[in-house]
Amino acid sequence: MSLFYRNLIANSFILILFLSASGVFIHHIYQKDTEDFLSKQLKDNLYALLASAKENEQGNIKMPRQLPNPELNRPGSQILASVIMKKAKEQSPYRWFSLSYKNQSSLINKQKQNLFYDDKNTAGDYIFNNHPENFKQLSLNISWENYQQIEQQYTFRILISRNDIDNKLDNFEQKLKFWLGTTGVILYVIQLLLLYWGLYPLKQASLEIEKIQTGEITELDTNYPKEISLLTININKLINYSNGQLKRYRNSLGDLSHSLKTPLAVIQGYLDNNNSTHSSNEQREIQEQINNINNKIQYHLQRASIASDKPLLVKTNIFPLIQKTLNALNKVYFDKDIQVKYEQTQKNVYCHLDEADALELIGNLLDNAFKYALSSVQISIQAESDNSTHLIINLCNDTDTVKEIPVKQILERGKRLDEHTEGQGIGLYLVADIVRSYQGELDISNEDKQVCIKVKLPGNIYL
Amino acid sequence: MRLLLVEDDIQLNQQLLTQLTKSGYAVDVAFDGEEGLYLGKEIDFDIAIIDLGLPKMDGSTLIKQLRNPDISNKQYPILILTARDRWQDKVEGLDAGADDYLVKPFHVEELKARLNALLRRSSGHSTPEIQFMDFKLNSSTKEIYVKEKLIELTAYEFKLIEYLVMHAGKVISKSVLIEHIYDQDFDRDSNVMEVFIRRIRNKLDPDKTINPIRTHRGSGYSFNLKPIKA
Repeated sequence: MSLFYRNLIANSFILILFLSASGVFIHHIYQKDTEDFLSKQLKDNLYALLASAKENEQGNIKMPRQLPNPELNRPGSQILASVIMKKAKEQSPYRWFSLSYKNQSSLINKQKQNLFYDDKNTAGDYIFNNHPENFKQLSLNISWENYQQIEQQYTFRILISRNDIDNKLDNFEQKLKFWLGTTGVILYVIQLLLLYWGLYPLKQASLEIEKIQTGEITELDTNYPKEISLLTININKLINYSNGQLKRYRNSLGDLSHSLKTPLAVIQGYLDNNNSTHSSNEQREIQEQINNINNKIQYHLQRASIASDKPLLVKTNIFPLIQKTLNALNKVYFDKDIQVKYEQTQKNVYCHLDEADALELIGNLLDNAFKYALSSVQISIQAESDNSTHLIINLCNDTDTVKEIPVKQILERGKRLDEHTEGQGIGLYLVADIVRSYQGELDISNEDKQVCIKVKLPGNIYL
Repeated sequence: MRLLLVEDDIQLNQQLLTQLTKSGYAVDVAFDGEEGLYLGKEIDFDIAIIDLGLPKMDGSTLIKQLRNPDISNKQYPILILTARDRWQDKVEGLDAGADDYLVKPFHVEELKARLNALLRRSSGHSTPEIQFMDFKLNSSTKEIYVKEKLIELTAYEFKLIEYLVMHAGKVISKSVLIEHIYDQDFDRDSNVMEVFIRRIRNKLDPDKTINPIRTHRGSGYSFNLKPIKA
């Protein structure tokens, strides 16, 4: 799973968790505040009720007909009040209900205990509870000492309907959900943008690595955030080190080849200039040794410099290499007047081949084709795809010099295609080595005076 | 033919100098790229042999500089010598402007054949045998036939007529002929050239019927016959 989706899922999870927790928390605080406000309302009304209580001549509490809070005087109101005296011996207890109870007798029927003094509570305790008919109720037991200094117990009750606060809570919940949802969507979009912005340097680095592979650039940009700049700097170092090492290695091999072959050229010159001083046997022997040394140097040094399929190899567009080699060979074999037929099915084919190896492969193949061709060379390049993509190079030339030579022998080290044609005879063997090191296939056919070589390089073809 | 040889190995350089001089080339030698560039720019050579692995300036850079129109714009054919077998080096050299390559070690005869082919090609001839009516010159065997009869010529005589044939139709001054046939220390004021021309005319055209060499008063000489095939 990509880093983008990993981050997106993790951040979305945190966002949902945060918004849900925030919603629950905010709702809880608002609900508590509302409940506190309702409780305060109940207390205020209870105090007003207590302040309104008078004493009659018998020393009992007597509530006035009209209370200061007009809601308590209005029948059917959402605020109700009652005062209930504790029953004492044969005395009928005092029961008072506010005018707002009028037409709401069902409220009393639903909770019959409200008709009586609340024995369970201690005097002075504020008892809040919920009434079944969606009222919140506050009860307070008081001990009233009348002017005869006789204590009498009363339960003062205030009920306020929860309908208003429930509606308020519902409204708040709806608005809270809406705004949290909207905030969630906005935060999600912002998070997407931030993620894109945050991961952009990684994406940029990845695109640059692709460009390095196509050869558009040679190293990564150094202007990256410090968190990944260390990585990009090290990738650059690794690329430079890898390329530099291969280049140094090849240069050293080239220098070695130069150091060994120049004295050989001197010996060869000496032999050519002094052929009269040596017997023909001696001359043949020396020549043979020169050829052996030369072949060994050429074969071993060239073989050692094959890069093979290394992971840091860049993609190489082989068409310019073919064109470059054709231009070179047209100069070299100018006098043969070879007709070249060149077909390419795609505009560009990039393959995961080291450029020097690709040039070595193409150079040796084309050089052989030009060398042995009578009049024409045909080249076709195609990229095919079945289970995986692969590059196919088909090379044919007309000839009359190669006759019934088994393929195995042609690919054998040191085997020359024609003893009368100049050449070291190891070019095709090197081609076979390169093809083998890239896990490719090489096929040679020789029919109707036409030699065809087919090279198949598997995988990593980019069109 | 005046030839530039740029090879850093002293022994190989001397060996090639000896062999190429024997073959009739007027050879100037250089042992590094900078010296090679100096000579290559200053002297109008007919052909050059340049080793790719040179000190001070590598062979490819030297060829590029010689071919560069802003630096020297030299168009004479260049043969590269290389000890590096990799195609990258060969293609790089040919891409830089060389016309052919030869991998070390090589036979001197092969080198001479390549030089001949390049000289022929640069003068617009595709085969070693160049024919002008009754006149035939073989650049490989160094032989000249007039009316199917082999003409005996000295090495210098052949070099002179070969140069004129390779530049057929063009007027070649006496000083240019001397420069391309003789070594640098040859006395340019001598009248050897007139003697040579006269002798060659007598050998090639004793009956005065084909008139192969035409004198342009105050300008020089030109090969006067029309080619049969290029």
